[in-house]
Amino acid sequence: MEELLLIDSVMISFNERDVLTDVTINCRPVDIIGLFGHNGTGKSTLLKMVFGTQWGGRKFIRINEKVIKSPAYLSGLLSYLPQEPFLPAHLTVRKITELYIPKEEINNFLGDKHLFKARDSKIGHLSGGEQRYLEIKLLLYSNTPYILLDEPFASLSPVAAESIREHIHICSAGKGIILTDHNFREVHKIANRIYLLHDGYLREIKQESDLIPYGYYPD
Amino acid sequence: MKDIKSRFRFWICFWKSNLGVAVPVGFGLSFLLLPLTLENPDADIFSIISHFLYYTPVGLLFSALYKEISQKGDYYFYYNKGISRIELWISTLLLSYSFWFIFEIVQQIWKSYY
Repeated sequence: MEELLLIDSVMISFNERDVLTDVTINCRPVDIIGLFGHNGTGKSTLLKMVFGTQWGGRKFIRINEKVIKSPAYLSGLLSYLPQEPFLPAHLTVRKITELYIPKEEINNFLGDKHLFKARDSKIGHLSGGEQRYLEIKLLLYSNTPYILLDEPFASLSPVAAESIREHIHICSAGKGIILTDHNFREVHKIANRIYLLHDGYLREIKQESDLIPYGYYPD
Repeated sequence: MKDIKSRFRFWICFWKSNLGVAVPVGFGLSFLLLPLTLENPDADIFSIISHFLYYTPVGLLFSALYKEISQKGDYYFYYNKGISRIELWISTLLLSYSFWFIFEIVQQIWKSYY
């Protein structure tokens, strides 16, 4: 069986404006794909369309040779980190970990220096950064083979962001990861492919200077 | 995630997340509608309990509205485990009415013996 997340011919318009035009991405386990774009270019829309929570438009999704016709999240093969917090506030860190992470890995998961002190705290009592860190780590270490991360480094401290990059690097050995961000230099450290979403089209980026003609970085 | 036992834990988790809104609203609604049950000359303590168990889950409608307005992001917690919104609400409805259903059975058994 070919292990591949194939995202093909993604198109969507809002108010007669073409937001995404024939976007195509292949993602294999071991791939870490960085996706850049100005605010409002459709990065989150693209990820939500792939995940299955954004209606409208057209798309073709195939995961591990299986064509996905229903929302992809129902397959259990795809996870998505939204920009907004998604963990129920009334649950504790430990309870959520027990729900998401295989039993034999829970102690190791909660032994993380960023989570250890807060392991019995309710989600509602965590800071935004702590919650974000937990959300990302839960998705990286759950059983899904493909993970979509929407601006994972937003609201993380530099130390926490570095830890997350390490976790992404570790988990990518067996998973395919697509992440959106604005910091090329940080994403370039871990991504093996980088794309820019511009005017609805996807363009591959090899180096930072390739972003300047698109107005993404100052000249 | 096909494991029913794991799925059931998520159903319980979602059901519990609704109680804070559904129970007070549903209980209040049940109290307002209580005269309808008390009008019946055969009404007894069993009827009253059954009445509250039957109408309290109506509070779930308000909980659903509350979630749509202010906790919509929480659904991703379940989507990321392959559980749809429809599945969550159906399981919550069934769990909520299971109390009424079980009570009705117990009531029938009790009344058949006494």
